[in-house]
Amino acid sequence: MDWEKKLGELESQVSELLAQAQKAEDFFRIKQQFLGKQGEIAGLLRGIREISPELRPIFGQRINQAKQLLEDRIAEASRQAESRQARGGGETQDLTLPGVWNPPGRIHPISQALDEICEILEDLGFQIADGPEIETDFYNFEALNIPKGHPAREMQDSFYIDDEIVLRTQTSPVQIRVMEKQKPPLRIYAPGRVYRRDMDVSHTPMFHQVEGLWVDGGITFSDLKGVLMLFAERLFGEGTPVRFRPSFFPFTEPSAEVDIGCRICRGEGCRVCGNSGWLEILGAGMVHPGLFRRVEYDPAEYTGFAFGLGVERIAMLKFGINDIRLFFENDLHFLKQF
Amino acid sequence: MKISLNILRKFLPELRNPSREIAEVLTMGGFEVEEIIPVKAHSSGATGVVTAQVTRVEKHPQADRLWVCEVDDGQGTHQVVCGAPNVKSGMKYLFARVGAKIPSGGEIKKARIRGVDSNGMLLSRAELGISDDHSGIMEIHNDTKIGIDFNELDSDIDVILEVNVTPNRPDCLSHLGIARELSVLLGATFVVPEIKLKEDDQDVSQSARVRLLAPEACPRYCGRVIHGVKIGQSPDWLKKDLERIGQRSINNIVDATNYVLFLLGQPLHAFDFSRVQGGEIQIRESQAGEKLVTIDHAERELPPGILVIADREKPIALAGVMGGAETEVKDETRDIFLESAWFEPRSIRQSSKATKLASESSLRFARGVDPEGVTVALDYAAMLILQIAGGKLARGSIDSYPGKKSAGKLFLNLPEVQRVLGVSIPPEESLRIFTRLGFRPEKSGDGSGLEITIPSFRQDLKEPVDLIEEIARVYGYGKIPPTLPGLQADQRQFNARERKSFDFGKKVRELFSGQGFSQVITYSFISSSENQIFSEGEELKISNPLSEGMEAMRKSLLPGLLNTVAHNLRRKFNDLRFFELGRTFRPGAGKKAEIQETNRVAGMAARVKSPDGWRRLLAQEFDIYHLKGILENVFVGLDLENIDFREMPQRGFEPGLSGGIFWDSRFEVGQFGLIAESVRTRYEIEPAVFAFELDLDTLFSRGIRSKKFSSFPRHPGVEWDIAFFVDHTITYDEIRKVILESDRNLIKDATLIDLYRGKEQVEAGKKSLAFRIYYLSPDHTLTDEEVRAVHRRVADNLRRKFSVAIRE
Repeated sequence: MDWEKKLGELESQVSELLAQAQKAEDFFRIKQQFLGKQGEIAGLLRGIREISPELRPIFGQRINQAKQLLEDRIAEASRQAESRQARGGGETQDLTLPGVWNPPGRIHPISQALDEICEILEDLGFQIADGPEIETDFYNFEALNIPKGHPAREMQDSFYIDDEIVLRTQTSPVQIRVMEKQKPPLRIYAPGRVYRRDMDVSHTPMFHQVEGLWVDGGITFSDLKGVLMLFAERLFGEGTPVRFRPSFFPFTEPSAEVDIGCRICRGEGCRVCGNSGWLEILGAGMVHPGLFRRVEYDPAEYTGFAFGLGVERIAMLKFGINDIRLFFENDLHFLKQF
Repeated sequence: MKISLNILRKFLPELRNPSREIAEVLTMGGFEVEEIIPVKAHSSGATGVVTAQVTRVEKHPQADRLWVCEVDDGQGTHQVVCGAPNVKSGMKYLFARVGAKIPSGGEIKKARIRGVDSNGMLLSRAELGISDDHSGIMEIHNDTKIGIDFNELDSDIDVILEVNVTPNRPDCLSHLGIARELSVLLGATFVVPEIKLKEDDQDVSQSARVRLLAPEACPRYCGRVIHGVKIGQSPDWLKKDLERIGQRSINNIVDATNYVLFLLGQPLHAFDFSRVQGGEIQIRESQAGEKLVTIDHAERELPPGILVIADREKPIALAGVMGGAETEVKDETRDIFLESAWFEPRSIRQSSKATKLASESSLRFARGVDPEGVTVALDYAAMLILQIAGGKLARGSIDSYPGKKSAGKLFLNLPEVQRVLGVSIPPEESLRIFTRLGFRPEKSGDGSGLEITIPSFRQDLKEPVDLIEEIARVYGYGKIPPTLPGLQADQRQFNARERKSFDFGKKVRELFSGQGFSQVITYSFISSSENQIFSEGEELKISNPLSEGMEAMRKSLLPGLLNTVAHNLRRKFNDLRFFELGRTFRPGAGKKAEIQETNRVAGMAARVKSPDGWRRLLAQEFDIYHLKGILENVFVGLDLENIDFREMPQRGFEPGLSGGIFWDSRFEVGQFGLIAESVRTRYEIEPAVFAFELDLDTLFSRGIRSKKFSSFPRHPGVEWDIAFFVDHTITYDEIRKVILESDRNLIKDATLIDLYRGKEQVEAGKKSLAFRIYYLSPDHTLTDEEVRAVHRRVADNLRRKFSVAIRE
């Protein structure tokens, strides 16, 4: 007998029967007829003696495959029938249809990055502080060791309302405002908008900064390093390489710029990091004694460190955004990605 | 600033470190190297061109302008006929062997030139395809090995570092300064190039006179005179060096002064001395009405009181900023007056600002050059000019130096170093660092401190802490161990209010995004005319806006949102819901009043067409009740109570479809409504736009309800409906009030369940309303009788007050 042909016939027979089957008994009957002890498959197996010994293993394997296939099909058909029954047998529900919902709006990526930064700082015990966006020349410059004519004013071309009123170019004036009101120890951070007169792929006339300040007796540059390394690792992932290199800010001494290992090339050097393998993320330093004198803290008693970072820069690094102007264009194609 | 490693080697003869290492060391020393630019292999297509040395030069027997040279290319010597004026024995050039291919003209063959064999060719820049300069053959550095293929040589020609010099370090705006730093950071030998001057017999005072009339603004003025210079092109090496550091070659004199500026950091100026009237140089302030044509050939009216260089008659240069055209060095110039000065930084900044001119010179003067380096640079430039332009140097130099200061001294208390840095650095190490930096440190009597003499080029060092930074920088920030100060929270000065206000803003953000609004951030400055759309009154203007349309600090967030809507409409989005959290700004009332900054949230919803959706959930046209519902939703989420919406005209909104939002009936906390058509037209927005703006500061400080528990009945209430026709001028609010007040004890709520105003079944001027009233007693389950009685009272009240017709 041609058992291959016979198997094929069995399979199509089962399919036909399954298509008509409705109730549980129907499936039971089909199962009996084909897979039961006296069933068709069993019958075929009994015929193994007629097969030449060398072909017997192949034959056995094939029969078992067919058996498995039929079992699966019957089970599946029976399960479907059952669920149809459960729904009342009437119209079927397509649960792949989209849910009915009111799509939520998106939170701006700057807010998202800012939240993450603030959360880390809160965990480190920093408390939020606030200050005006329109500042006096005194708070924005003079009190931060940037007198009129100081070369550092060239670094930040500012927007003026008049000779004495300026849109703050940094969140650092909040340091002065807080120190004027509170005595050490203090540990604060100040997020907010800042303004500089500049516009290109990496500059917009308005952007966001977060300022941090920790003042107490015995705060050192070592502490600055420890705290900011912890901060960078929380923000960019454990094991992120962090380096501190000397820089200049009028209101800190010594000053440092903090870099993290380039996330794109892993330090190998690429276009994003200008082949250096490092990406600058923030500026920091030990609070200049001149600031302490100005707010009547004794520089011989207290030391402190301050840091400032650009939120756009952090968001660009985290999300891989290459043009800062996109943040303020507010195109939905952009906003919907975050 | 561009720094050439080749030029650095003038000061650091042993500098052999790989450029990447040099860049790393500089960066970690505070001089961030932003880019490393190898002077690239010139893929000229030349083959068979090698470095070679000319070992002998003789005149061609048959031709005046030709030379017969012996050239050593490392494999042997070749006889070559050459016509270049600059070929000299001992110099190294690029040599094309016989069989070589050069970009400009095919293959080099053996030739016989006027009877002399020539085996190869010495090449000019033009022949090498580097530039269009074919005035002579290209000289290469004398320490280059011979026999190196041109294409391999290229990558080694030079490396340029783009160095970011912070404003406190003007001493490093030169190769000298960077070399000095590198010598400290690498521990490399630092040499000062030797200056040898051959002076003429005639004393400088015989021809030139300097009158320093503004000693405050110019504490030191020096000069030299050179007679009989020959103006021409600079030698190749000089052109090349200037080109690599980003400078254009002008002529040999100007190039020499420029070169010294980048080499030593001291700006110089050369005047055509024959044009200086009376041979007299005056350093004085400009007077009203004086004019000067600067070398950019622009005639400038000089603001009075800025520092100028003048001759007897008129200004001839803007001191420290830019020279004048009349005394500029030109082809026919023979005698020059070479100026080297120290101008007061403040004075140069003023001139620069007043004339809106800046130059490499003014940049350095404005930050402060080394007052003791003035004569060194002058002599170096004189030497260079004599070398490349000839001439005779008048004996001696003018040095007018009324402003000489004694060297500054700082005392560093050594324990301070550890107090600031947190790491113990042995005093010997500090001493060594200062010595290498060129400071003169001396131990104080008791050994607890160092008295340090500050060199004249480090005017940035003013306080002991500046010295601590020097120690940290040279010692290496990387070597300072990170530590964590005690992280115990210090809650004594907890900024509770700021914390809560910040969180309030965050909550507002979450609530609006939950309502389908996307957050945007727009600029705080808008155009003055936009600023008037939604509010009258004074605004704050920026005196130096970035561009037109960004001149006023916004009084409202709405114009920014309108721009966002318009932008996204152009991008074909059709469901537009946006909000922004941010500040608005107003001048304070009265003279000394503070500027008012208010935290606000504003939002906008526009829908072009119903979005396609299989269940059409959002298919309803967005209208003012949707907007109001969203706001009510947010108010509930913010725990804000006692908020009411009142129809009243709002600037920039459609009358009748807009109003104010009040807290406690007294404080206006916002506005809402349909944006006026004229405003939409202005922004080219076609679809209807609904908008709101809220004052978060007032809401935050006043509106938040305190939560308090009150007991509630444990038995069920009942709902009865009432429907009626009423005059359409009667408002929902009025009707609902009457219903609720019909029995304050038993009526808990009344919900509008139907409103119909169509033509059928309702007579003109009337509307049909249906309310569902919720009855609940505080102490028992209400019977039908009880409810019927109250329900009847409701109907009676409505009839009496509003003459409603109850529908049965």
